[in-house]
Amino acid sequence: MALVSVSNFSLWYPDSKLPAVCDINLQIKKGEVTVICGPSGCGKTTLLTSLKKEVAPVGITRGEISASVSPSDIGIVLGDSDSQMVTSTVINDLAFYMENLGLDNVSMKRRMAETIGFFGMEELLYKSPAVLSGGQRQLAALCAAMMARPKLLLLDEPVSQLDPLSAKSFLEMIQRINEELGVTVVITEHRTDGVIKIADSIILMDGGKIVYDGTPGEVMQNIWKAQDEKNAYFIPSLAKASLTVSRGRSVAFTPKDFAKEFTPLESAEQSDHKAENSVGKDRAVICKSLLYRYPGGSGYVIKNLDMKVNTGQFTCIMGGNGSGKTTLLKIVAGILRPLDGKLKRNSEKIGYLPQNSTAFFIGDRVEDELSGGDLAYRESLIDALGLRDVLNRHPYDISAGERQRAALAAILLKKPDILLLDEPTKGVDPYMKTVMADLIKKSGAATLASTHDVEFAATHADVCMMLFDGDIAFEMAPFGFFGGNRYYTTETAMATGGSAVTYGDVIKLWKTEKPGFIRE
Amino acid sequence: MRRNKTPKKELPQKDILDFRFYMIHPAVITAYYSGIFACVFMFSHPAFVALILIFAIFTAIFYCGKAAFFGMVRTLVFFGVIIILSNVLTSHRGVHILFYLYNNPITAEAAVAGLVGFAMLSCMLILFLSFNRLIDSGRFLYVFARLAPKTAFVTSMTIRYFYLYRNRAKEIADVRSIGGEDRGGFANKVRYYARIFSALVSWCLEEGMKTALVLKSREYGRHTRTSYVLYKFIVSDGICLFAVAALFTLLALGAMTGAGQYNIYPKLMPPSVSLRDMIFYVLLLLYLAIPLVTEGVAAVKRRMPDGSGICQ
Repeated sequence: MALVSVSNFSLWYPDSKLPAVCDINLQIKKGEVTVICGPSGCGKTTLLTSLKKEVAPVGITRGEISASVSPSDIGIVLGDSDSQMVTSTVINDLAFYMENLGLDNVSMKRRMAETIGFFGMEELLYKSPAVLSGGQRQLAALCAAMMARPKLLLLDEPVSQLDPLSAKSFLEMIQRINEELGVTVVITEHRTDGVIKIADSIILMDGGKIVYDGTPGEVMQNIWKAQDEKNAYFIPSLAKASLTVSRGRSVAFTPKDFAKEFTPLESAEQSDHKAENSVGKDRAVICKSLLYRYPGGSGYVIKNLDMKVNTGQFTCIMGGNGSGKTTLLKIVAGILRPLDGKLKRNSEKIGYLPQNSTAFFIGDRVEDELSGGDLAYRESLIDALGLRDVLNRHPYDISAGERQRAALAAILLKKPDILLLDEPTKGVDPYMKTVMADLIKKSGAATLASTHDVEFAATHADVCMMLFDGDIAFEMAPFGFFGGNRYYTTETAMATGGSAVTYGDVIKLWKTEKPGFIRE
Repeated sequence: MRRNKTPKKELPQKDILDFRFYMIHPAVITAYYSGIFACVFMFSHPAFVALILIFAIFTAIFYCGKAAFFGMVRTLVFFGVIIILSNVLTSHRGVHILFYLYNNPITAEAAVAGLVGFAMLSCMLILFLSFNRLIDSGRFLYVFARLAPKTAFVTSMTIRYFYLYRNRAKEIADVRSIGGEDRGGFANKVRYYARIFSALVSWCLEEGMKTALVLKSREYGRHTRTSYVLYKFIVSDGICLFAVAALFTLLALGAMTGAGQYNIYPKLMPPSVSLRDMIFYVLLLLYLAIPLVTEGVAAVKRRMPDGSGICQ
């Protein structure tokens, strides 16, 4: 039964000739989890917000959206977790929706008690949104939406700004809401890994149109059959590996499914687990016994940390939430002064991408930051990162992924010798991630990137470092790093017990050919 | 090389939840503190002001710890010097002339008036220390929301923004600190800060639009609003409120009929003490002792061997 049906729906934003979404036909079935996927700017958010009248985008519409639920039974969680909370404590925020609905005190107390129990948020009730992590804020926003007991839940890129572990627990919560409470869920995401495991059906959009529609398995196999080079980026790496090995016949989304179906031809020889500092000979950054503690903070964030980064070496710093990745980058950038220890840089030409790339822009147009420098290089950056269309837009009006790319372009244009990137792949779609990695490597700068994105680090990094307890616990080349890890590693490594870490390793291990339309 | 440096030991603040008075309904605590604030202005007798000042210092140390109070002393001294000096220099009333400064008389009356003014200000500031600890912004808003729901909601949103924007301004400045932008010279400096400010403003406006959308998505303003009851009003809250109301009424009546008053101008005289003053002095002492009595009763109840005190 269709809860919402969209027929021939198109929407034009006031100032544009091209429709943001075009001729959409869609059935959202009751009790299902539907995932709408697509690259940044493909119209998925426009489509999602059109489903709830109160927040529907303003523009000229054609076609029809008919829902068999009343508008007040549709809950929505909008993307940016910073602006999701409107008051100064969590409990006020959770009560806010119910107060707006005019519920009496007994029903408010009842809903509050049981919903908070369901979410396990008792500890956070009296905290201020400012001290919550991104994952906790997003969970609080979801909890607030659930207070109104919606029948249909719309989520706009709920996990794209979260680290993998927070994203996983958020998606598990969505799954529980769907399975235990029978709430129908529609999620937009720009990457499929993660959400695909809880999806009943998946819709792939591009340029405002639906290009694929079906169950996750069907969609992945259809992309494979069509040898669709562009959309092949939306196949998660494990699914890509399983499709390659089985030559398009079967697809696995979880390590469990993969391990059940495929056994490697031979176990790979483990390479020596040392950092292969093959790239660059000169030291670009040397940290010695760094010590840092935030004023008034409870403990030391950085404890006697030693680290060396070579010129031209692409280093990824991994580690759990709050392990001090951002702090370390800020110290190397010179924003924070270490309390003790030595920091040596071979150059003062530093490029720094902050965690929130919005802070990077202070001009009115994206172009303002992209001025000066080598003209040819500038043009090539703009084309490679797909920024041509957004040059004249305000930095706050473009999508998070586009902002991230524009900031990187602006940094690279200055030709820095040391590149410090805080979560560079946050909000970036799979294709652009590859482009970004290529550009970073080509720039020849000593790069230090903090990231949670294990696939990205495994595929592109020269060296991976694990930050734990304020120090670099160990550092290795990606294969040794992720192959030796059991929990903090890629899904491919989980599925193969560490004998293959990336898609490329799978190809080698199974001695098969990479299909021509797949690029890495 | 120094390794494993340990920071200077800081005295940990006692957990506010250990205090029974904190668990009194926030509206009652707010009423109680409003009463003391009023008393600061109602009584001008030095003995009364001194009593309130001592109480303020005591509660500040009791509820917030020594560090919080002594951290404030420097600010207080600074204000004290300014107030006394400005009063002495601008007011030349009174008959006890101490000396002449550039042909202007400096009077003892003006100095004492400045001192009393300083004492009153100190009372207020020090009282706010413990008040802030007992009634944080969330609890204050809760109380306030009962009186003016819309204003309270707007205030709550504003408080959130205050911290958010402060952090944002820092984020923007951090990024700019790396670019090596020319900040030499006054004009460049002004340009630099103006650009950061303008970026912050557009960020805020953008954020405001998103928040508006969130409000809309949570159906704000579409139905008659109710408000969530966070704090129950229990019997001991009632007893406490009664004590606060009764004592304060008496004190107010006393102040209106002239108890605890002292006039500095036109001529400085040693303060007189009447029987009526003494009665109201005791009443004020009782009023100020309310939190202490609450803590004391709770402590006694907790120590009762059979727990009968708690179960009553």
